[in-house]
Amino acid sequence: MVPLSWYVAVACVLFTIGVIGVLACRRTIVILMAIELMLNAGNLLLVALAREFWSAQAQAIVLFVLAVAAAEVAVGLAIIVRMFELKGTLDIDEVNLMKW
Amino acid sequence: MAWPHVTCFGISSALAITAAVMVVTRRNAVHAALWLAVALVSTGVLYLTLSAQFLAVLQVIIYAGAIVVLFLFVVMLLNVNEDQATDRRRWLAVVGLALALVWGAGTALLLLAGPPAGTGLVVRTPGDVALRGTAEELARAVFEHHALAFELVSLILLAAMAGVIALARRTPRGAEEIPGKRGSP
Amino acid sequence: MDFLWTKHIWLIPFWPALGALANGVLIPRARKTLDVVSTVAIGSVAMSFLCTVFLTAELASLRIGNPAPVEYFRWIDAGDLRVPFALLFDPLSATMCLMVTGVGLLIHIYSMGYMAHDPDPGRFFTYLNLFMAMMLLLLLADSFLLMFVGWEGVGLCSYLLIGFWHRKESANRAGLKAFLVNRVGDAGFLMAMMLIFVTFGSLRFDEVLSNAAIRQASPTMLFAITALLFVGATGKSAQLPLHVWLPDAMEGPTPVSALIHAATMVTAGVYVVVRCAALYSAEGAASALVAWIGVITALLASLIALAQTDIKRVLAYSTISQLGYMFLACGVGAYVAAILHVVTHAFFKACLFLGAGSAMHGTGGQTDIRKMGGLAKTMPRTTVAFWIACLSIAGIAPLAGFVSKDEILHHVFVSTYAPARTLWTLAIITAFLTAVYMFRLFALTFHGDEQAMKRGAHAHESPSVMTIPLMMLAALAIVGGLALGLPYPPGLHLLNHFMRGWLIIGRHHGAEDTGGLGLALALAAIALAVAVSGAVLAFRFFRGPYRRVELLQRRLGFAYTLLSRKLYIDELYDIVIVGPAVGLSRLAADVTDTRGIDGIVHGAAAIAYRAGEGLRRLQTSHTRVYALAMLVGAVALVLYLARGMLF
Repeated sequence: MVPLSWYVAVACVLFTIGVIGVLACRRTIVILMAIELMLNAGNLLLVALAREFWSAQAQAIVLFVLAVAAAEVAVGLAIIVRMFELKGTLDIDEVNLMKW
Repeated sequence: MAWPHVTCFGISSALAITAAVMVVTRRNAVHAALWLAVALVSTGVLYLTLSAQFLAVLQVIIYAGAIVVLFLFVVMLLNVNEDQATDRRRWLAVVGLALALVWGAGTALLLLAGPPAGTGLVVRTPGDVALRGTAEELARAVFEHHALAFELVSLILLAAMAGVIALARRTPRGAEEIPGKRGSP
Repeated sequence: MDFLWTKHIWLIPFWPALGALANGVLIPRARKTLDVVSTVAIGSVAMSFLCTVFLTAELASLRIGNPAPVEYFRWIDAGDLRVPFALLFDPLSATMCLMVTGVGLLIHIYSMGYMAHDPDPGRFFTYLNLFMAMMLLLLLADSFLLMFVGWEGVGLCSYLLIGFWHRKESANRAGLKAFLVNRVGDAGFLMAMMLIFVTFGSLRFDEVLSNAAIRQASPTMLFAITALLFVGATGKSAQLPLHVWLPDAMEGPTPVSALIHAATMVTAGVYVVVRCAALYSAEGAASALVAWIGVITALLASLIALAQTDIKRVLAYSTISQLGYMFLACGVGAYVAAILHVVTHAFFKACLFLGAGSAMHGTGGQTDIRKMGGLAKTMPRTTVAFWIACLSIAGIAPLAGFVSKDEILHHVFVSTYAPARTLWTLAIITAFLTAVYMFRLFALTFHGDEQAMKRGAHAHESPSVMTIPLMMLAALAIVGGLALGLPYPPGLHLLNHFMRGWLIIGRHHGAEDTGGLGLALALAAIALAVAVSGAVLAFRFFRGPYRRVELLQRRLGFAYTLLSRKLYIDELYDIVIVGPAVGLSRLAADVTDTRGIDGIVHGAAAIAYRAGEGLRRLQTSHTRVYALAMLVGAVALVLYLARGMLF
């Protein structure tokens, strides 16, 4: 049995990489991928805790996260496609329609 | 500590972290998507080491199978692989990196310190049975305790579907300029 | 069990209320023709009148002096304050209700003719019916609180009907004036009610107006209560100094003036004082106040009436003057005489107003008596009715006005109250003036010099729907007095007989020693002589050429101006009350409101606007900056949670 703390460490590292990806990348599609990484890290933590606390409910939550992530990716990608049609770019800094 | 577990954990976690780094650093979006698949599959393997077999299968099917393929589709559809112009807000990335590291370290610290006393977290008792992560266990947890949430999730998926259709429907260029004629096919 | 009308007092105000509901709401707008609405209105009042008649007959046959109130439901039940919805049908309210529904019925019928050409008869009859319902509620109420509901209700209807022709600026102003002046009186009534509750712990008549309860109350408190109630009465009954609204109230349609501002509503003040006879009898000072205010009002109003030129204003001042008589009677403890005068006054004054309305109708809305005249030839029926009513109010025997006025004068004369002779002298002067101004009015309107006769030739008689009620009222003005209050022998005084059970409530002062038949005859002879001389003098003088009248006015000089300008009381109020009130309102509207309150509101809006202007700079549309901001927040949260481990 690998101890919980190891998984926690891995999950934190993965999440941090995701955060850095969101902030450092400008291509929206990669930002979306980074968000997936973060969700994934969260899932990993949940599964690890499920084992620690012998709780099937934590795993159930992972299931929900999966579904929501799928929905999010679908909508996000649709938005990205529309954005590319309108702006001709994927650069997030170019999208500023909501500026005051 | 059983060594096969440890070996498995070590290899897959190292792979996951490396792949994650690759995702955010690749200039080519197709490469990034492929590395994402690697990261997700290796996380799935980590699930296996945590005796969450059903979730591991789902992880591979949904994430690696569906989501990553979706990403690849879009990337190839739009055909913009290269990250062209230089970043005008480099400071943002630098500050973000520093802050993210602080945040990650802090969170890890907090999590490793364990739950604060008196939060009422359920700690397993000797009589409980260890999880095996089967579909049956998961189904019980979902349908016995989270039936409403399950229904809501189905609603979210439906809404996402409707939203995607609405977004993806192209309006003819000419029609957009004439007020009152919007939305005609 | 037999059907007892006594249990169904509620039917009396119910019918007019139903009529108002039907005319106001239920009948669709398109169907609101004159025929429909007037039928509903007249029918409802007729039903109410019939119920009153049956109830009165039953009351008389049951021979109960003081019937118990009939409780219908619990109305207000808050702590110590318990007021049931209860109605009381005793001889006093029976008399008043008979008068109100009877005269009201005739006036409703008359209105059908008078309002024939009005574009909105539905509204008129709705208000009129609502007024009837409220007036009857006022009279039948068994507690001060329920009475107050009717009291305010008739005030509201009065306001609505004075301003009925709301496109006329002056009508709106008159309505507003009536409402505001009445508010002063209502405040008095309210305060009296509060004091009654504090003193007696109840607002029900049978608990407040019992001799046992009154004996325990302190004299100061009793004086305060009776004085404040009288303030309310002066407001509603247009006594000095709150009489100013009544002459202006003549802006309303004439049937309204007849019904509300002559026959019924303005007598509500008298009714309140009579109803609280037990309180007034126990408190001499307040009674004296009532008597003095009454007699002074009677005198001044009749003086002012001498110099008015508007036919309805003369009648309005005459109403004020006659109401003064009623209060004088109350003040000396002659409550039955007061009620008798209320009833006879309703007959002849309604007849006068309806006659005036008929004259106006016939001359195309002319109200200036200097421009009228000679109507006797073209409007014979109106003239006869008006003449009879004039004789009656002037106090010519044996008409109704003579009987009731003589009874009041007699009671004043024999009253044990010290300056009774002074009061009587003032009252007899008023009687003389009454005869003078009434026959001045009659001569100028219906006769006059040759010029006037020529003017009158163009008039036309009113339709019979108007003249028949007029005739009936004139008939009542002849026989009403003797039928109800035959002065001699004592047993045949019908009203006294009917109200004898009720009379024992209060200890009456002053009315015990009548002084014998000789004195009564002598007083009656004096009153008659005074009235006849006044009438003949005025009729002969004002019938002649108008030049003589103008000459007299010039001779009188300032005295005439003073009277024609109504003693400058309106002007005085304008300076003393209206001016400062308007100034204060301006201050509140222009300074406090625009600068102060609006300033706060606008200032708050400006602050929000400026803050928005500044804060919207944060809306950079840079998604990554937003993400960074989120991260900063997350870091802060983590640092906060980990503060124990770090420091």
